[in-house]
Amino acid sequence: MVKYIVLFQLIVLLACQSYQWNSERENRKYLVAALAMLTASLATWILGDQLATPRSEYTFLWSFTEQIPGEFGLLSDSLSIVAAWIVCVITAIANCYSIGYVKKNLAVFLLAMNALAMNTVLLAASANLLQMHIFWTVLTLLSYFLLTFNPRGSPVKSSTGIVSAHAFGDLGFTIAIIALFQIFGNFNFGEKFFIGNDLQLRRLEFVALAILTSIFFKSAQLGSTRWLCQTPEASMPAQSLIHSATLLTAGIFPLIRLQNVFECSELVQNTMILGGLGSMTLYSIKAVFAEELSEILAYSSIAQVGALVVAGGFSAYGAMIIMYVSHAFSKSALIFSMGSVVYSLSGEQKLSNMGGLFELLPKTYISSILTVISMVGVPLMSFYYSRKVLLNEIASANRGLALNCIAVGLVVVAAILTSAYLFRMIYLIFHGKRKLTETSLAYLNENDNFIIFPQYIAVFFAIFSGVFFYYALYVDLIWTDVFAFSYGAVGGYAIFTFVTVNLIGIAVAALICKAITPRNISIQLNYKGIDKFKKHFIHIVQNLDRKYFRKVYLLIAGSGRSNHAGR
Amino acid sequence: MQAAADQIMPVDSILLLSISIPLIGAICISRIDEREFTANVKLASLWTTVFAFIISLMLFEASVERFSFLTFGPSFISVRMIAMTTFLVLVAVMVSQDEINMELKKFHILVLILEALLIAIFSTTDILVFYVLLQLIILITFILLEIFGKDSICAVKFFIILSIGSLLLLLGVIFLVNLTEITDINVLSRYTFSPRQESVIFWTFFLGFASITALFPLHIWLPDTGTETPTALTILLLGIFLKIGTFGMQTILLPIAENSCVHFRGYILELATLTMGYATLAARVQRDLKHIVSYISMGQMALITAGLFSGNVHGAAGASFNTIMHSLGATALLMVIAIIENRVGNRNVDAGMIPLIPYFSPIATVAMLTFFSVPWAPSFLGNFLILSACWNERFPIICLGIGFIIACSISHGFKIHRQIFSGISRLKKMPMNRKELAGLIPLIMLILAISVYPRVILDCRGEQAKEKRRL
Amino acid sequence: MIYQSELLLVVYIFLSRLLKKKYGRQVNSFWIFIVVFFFLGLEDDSSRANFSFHSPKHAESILKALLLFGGCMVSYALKGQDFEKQTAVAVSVFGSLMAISARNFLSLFIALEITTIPLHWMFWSDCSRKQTAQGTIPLLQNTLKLVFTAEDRSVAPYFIFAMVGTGAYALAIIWMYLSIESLDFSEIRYSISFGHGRSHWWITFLMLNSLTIKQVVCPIYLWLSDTAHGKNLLITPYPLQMASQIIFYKLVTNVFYYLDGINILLTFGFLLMVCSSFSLIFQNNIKQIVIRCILSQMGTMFLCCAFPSHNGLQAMMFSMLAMIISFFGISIVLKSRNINTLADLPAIHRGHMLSAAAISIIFLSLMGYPPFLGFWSQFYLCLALMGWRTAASVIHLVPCVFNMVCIAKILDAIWFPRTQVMPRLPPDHVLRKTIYLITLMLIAIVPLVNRVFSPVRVESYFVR
Repeated sequence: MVKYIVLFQLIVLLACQSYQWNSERENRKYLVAALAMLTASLATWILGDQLATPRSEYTFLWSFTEQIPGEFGLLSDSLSIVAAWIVCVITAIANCYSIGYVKKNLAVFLLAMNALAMNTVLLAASANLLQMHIFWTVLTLLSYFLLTFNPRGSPVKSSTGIVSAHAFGDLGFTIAIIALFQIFGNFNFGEKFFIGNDLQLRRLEFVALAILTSIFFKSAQLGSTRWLCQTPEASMPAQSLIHSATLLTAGIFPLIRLQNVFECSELVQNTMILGGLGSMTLYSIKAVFAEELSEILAYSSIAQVGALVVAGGFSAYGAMIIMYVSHAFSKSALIFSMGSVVYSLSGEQKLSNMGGLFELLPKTYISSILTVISMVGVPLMSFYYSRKVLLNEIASANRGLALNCIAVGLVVVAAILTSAYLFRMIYLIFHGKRKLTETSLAYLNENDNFIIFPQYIAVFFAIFSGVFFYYALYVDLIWTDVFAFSYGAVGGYAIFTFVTVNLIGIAVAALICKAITPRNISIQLNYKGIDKFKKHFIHIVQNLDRKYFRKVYLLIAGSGRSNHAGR
Repeated sequence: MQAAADQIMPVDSILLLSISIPLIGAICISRIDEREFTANVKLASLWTTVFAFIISLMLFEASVERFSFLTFGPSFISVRMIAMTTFLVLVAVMVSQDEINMELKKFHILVLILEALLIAIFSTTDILVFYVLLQLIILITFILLEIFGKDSICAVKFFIILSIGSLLLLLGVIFLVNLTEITDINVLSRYTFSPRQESVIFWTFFLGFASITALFPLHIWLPDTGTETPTALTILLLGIFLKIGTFGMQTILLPIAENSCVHFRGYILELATLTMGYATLAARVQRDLKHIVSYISMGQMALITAGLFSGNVHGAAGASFNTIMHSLGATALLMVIAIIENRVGNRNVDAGMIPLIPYFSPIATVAMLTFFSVPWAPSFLGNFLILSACWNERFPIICLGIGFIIACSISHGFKIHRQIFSGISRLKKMPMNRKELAGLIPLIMLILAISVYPRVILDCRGEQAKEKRRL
Repeated sequence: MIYQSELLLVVYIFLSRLLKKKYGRQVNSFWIFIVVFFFLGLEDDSSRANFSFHSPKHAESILKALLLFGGCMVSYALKGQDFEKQTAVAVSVFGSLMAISARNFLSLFIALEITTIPLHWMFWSDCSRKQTAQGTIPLLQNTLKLVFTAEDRSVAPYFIFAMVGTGAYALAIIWMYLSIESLDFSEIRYSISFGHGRSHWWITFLMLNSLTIKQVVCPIYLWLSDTAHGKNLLITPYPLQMASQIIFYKLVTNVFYYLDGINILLTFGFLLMVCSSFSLIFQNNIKQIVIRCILSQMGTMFLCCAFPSHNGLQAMMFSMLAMIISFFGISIVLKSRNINTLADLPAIHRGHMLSAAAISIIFLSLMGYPPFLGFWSQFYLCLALMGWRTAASVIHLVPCVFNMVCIAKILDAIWFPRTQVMPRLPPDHVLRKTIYLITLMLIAIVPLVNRVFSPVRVESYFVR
């Protein structure tokens, strides 16, 4: 079934290409957006079908060579359809959004975006690790392209940061699949196996740690967050796609796919838990004190993905699915809303320069508020259920009381901080004193429908997708074949806990907003060490030739000729 | 009777034809008067190279018995190298049509003679003939560099370092001939030597081939030579000449000194990693694009060497794949650089903005990706196979080191890409003309085709093993 | 008919002098050498078969052929010049042919003197002509003064060492006769090989030393290259030395064959090889380059003579041939083009493509670059050295490296386009035939000569 999604994505790409070939025909961009929406509808329909009758299909395309046991094929099971569905919907929304948002190089931007979407779908539908690796690495390239196309036209200096980080992450994945090939002799996803001896266990641990390293790089976790924090200048629809597609599908999706590998040792799962907890907590705190809008968005993504990794560490795959879905849509909705704000302010991202936009941008305000309410975990909305399930899984996991308690505590703290920074953001942008100049005010108006309308679609999905999946997984108990671990019962004290948590969060936000005003500073990245090294190295390399070889040459060959003038 | 007639005049020998076509072309060109008929010279050489390319494609269906003559015979890998050679010489001649306007006759005659020698060296089965042809190639390349290089020192460096390397090779050849009195490679590969003898043979041959492949510390000639010559010559140097070394290692050194190769492969892998690291670091600090291309080529050749000496079938397959992809990628990137230079005027990496050339960006990007051996479609397979080979042969640190260095070079490649391609242009639009496109498009198509369908290069049906068994 | 070639030469010498005196007609010695060359080929029935050096008769035939070939070259260069010089060359060649057929030391001594004295005379006559505005004036009356003039510093040492060599050689013969009471080669070989007493070792030493000095080679050669200053390369002492090398060969094969590692030859050969090639790379004068290159090759040949090896001696012969041809080619080209230093060579290829190619090929052959003739001579020499000791062939690589540096310099001068003023050379067509001939000899002769000489039984294309 995924093959139909892929086919439709190809058609979308062709439409984009035709738009690029003839950029004067403006109507073609609408065609692209319409086709993307069609793809999203198809994906939704296929998801519904899959939920009704869960099945697994494999479509073979072609084989590499006979020396490598790898084939190109499309695996269509529940997980891949969910991931593909998410990507298709977000891409469709982003297509519409870009029509309104991106003014220069729209054709290339649409092409890059839809190519990224197609690549992500193919990654989700990969049938073996080798194929996944190919698309995993192409993701780097396409993310790079997406980030370089700045609507404002000035060069984006930070876009190579993404490549540097991902290059090293991809290395980890390469080593992992080579090692896995050495153990098993094929590139399959590792169905249930028994660990025969200690050596095999150690090798599998190494593999799991290598994949974990690359996942950490790809999803901007602890230790490799720089690239995500360096994308402030990129356009908002690009950011949305990066945050949802790259981070999640490349980062978290393999965690679920390769669950059997990660289950093999406690060391790996403990690493995941601790790493996830660290990034979650640290970046939630950083987000509270952030100065720029995109900073908040980036840190928030990192924190949420950290929570996902923690869930993976506790083998809480049901929680992971719900959180995956809700985070993808919520973050996209948030980015779209904030993008609308930024667009209205003509590129202003510093929180210190914003304030009191509540009356001027009412539609944007409504969508932002709705998203934020969903994200903080108000009951009957997505994040409430995801957090509930997560906490339940952590509490009932058999990891030892200490780890469980720490994890539960930190997740609760992160929840408090989430609501804190989100409400702070809303307050600083939409409420409070107006800090705009008169000229900016003159240019400020509510954006056109192409920017407003997609936001609401995204908000709709943000609020209801998590709910839907909660009911599908935990109430109707479908897909029990996929997730072999039990979910357990949910206690009634959860509602009380969450309401308390959120109230505390709001209070903290209010305090911070009043007490600490954002300062007008910009982030400076220092590369002093690298520059010094470069300077010394080039000095050595150049002078080696000048001092030594040239002198020897002149000694030998120079005596007979008076000048060495060339042409 | 037929056999005797065949011996006197091997009519079926396409190999002989493919070697003699460029020579005949050179003779014809030498009769043309350069001053009056400039266009004829260019046209004659272009048609000769086209014809040679078509003939070399016919070798793909060759069988060893039918198409050998004297000491020349096609094998699996040599047929592919010959096809690549004729293709790249064709591309070089096309590129030189606009670029080289002085000393036309000499250029074309020398390039055609060089092509004939290259085809001969890739198909020979005799060590002495290989050595003699190698020296002739070095000589002709030296003369070409002298005439067309901007500074004579790069040519002199080239000649001296390669002569030292090939003298070491000569020592090895003489040692071998003294021991066995046989010069045929196939016969020698079945000979058994004592460990001491084999190690002498191994080190002399290896150092000889290492100077051609530009491994550290015999790499000094490569950066200057790649930079200070016109694009056509750089294509020949980086695309074909460097490959003679790895070809020699693969067909001469590995079959003859097998045990030594296995014994010393740790050192060779370390040397290859060191060379790669040095090349990547050195490329990072360069400002001239062609300098960067030369250094990265050096790193690529080291990677291919590592693949060959990993001792694994996967490694050798990855090395062959990377050989072809590097040649094509380097050629494409050099043409891209030439296009940029024609428009901007210099090759400085910090130039920043380039004019908007329609459809240029994807072509240049593919070229750049292939060249920097980014681990996806174009060169993915080769790198993956080599890394896999190193890992499986229990060299995990080298595997990680090579992977790390590849990752560094990828980030560097993207940095260059961003510097060149993003940003506002100050110059007006200058679209690519037909000639430039005619050179680039087939190259890019070929790269993409091979990356999607690598069976053309990789030994899928075990043909090499079949050849070995037959011999 | 054993000595018909020598007889023919004697007949020619007398007849030509007679013709000149009576009728004033001059017959070039070039033709007589060609005639004698063919007669030589008729000497033996199996001359057309594989020359294999196994029988002494075959070896001697080939040596004679080489000498006559060298004589051809020299007399071709002297075409149109002094008749006296041509007679001197003929006498010299006659002497060396006699030396090859010698069977004892006394006859060898006499033959050697017959070989060298005319060449000394030629050298002397060239030195003693002073160039003035009126032309060349012979200064025979001031011979003593000439010896110590500042212009030609090489004259004095040359003659001094020649005389010392002759004297030492004579002393050695006397000593030999007194101690062994025979001068025959076979008897002396027998007594040396069984090592009777210390005095025989001294005799060997003195003999070889004298021959070496007579050839005025290392370690006292450094001044020798100045002898070529201002003269045609072919009438410098180098042809003499090449002729004497043959005599050396004969001596070693007949007398000293069973001695393992003649140390003096080893030392001289090694030093000559390395020192001359090292000094090669700092030279700018083309004649100096050529001379030092040939000296280094002669050093290698000494090394090959120093140990008993069939392959070595054959390689030496091959190398002689290569050297003669290269020497001849270079002297022809340089003389016609009036090129003396590297500064005369800049970017010749611009206007004179054929000259540039010919000069390049000739120098490449001289320096031992494949696939030209010089390379094969180096190859066989190295192979022979490898057969004896591996270290020797590794040391043999050292002059090869210096040769490569030098050839890089020369080719750089020829082919790199510089902005200097182009030298005014005569157009190409004047010497086209000669250039073609020489280049063809250097290239085309390779497979033939490989087939003919085949010092090593190598299963390769060239020997199939």
